[in-house]
Amino acid sequence: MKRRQWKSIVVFVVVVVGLSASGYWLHQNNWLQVPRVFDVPSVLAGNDDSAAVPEGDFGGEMRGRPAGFEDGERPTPPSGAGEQGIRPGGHEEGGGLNWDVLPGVLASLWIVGFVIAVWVYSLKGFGFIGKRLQRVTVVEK
Amino acid sequence: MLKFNKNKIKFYLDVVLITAYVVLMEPQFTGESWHEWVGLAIGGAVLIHLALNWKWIATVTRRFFGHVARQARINYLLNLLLLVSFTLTVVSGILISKNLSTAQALNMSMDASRNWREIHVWIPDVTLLIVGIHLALHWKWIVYTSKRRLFKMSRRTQPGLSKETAS
Repeated sequence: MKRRQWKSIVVFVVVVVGLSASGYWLHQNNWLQVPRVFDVPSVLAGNDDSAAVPEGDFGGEMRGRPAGFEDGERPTPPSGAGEQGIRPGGHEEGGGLNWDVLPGVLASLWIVGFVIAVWVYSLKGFGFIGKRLQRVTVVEK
Repeated sequence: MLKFNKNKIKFYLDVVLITAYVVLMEPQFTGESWHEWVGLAIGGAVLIHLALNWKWIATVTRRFFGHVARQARINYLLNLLLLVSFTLTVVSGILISKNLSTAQALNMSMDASRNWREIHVWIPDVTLLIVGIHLALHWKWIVYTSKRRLFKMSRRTQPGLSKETAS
């Protein structure tokens, strides 16, 4: 096998393992759920969680947040990450970035990465199969 | 005299755009006020992105029903979808904005406001998926340009890209 092929395989394994591990962690911590894109009926009916959020409350608008986070509590941190506390109030008015919700940003990044990986490797896979089939057809002829 | 490197500007603008968009997907990360202003800025940046790619847009629009590569046609349709969903995201954001108080200015009813809020919550997720596909379709260009820009690799070390892929 050529060096370039080995490199491609290693990159593929790293991508699969990386996406699986990060996706599992984000999902286990309730940051990554099935995107609301696929939840059209409830959005149209307006009976999802965010509709119940009172005006002015910025919580509950986002996809995939840990339970109870809308109530101003921090998500349950991983074991050993320190004690739970109340999310600093009034963050919406400014005052720096809220690093508590960084996994939410990573969840969005994960979705983009997942879509790219599926698309790129599907095309590569189809291309590979197509080439093999072409070669078999040529040999048979 | 300053040399205008279109590809370089395109690359860094796209990096800023995707980073800002992903960050804005979690409004609590920046806070509501920043979320709104950065969202508006992204709207402006998208216009620049379109202007920088105008030649391609105009060419494919003219030839859409004529001689044009299949991939370019798929790209065009997807980009159109992305433009619609992104416009909806920005417009719905403006309509529910607290900084701009658009709802009050337009005398919008509570129901209408809630509906726009729903749209603003749902549409960005759709847009995120389309952005993923958009990036995937340009993946070769992204990898090639990243290597050149970020790792300073020379043109010779990279396999040549066709003009079609690059566009």
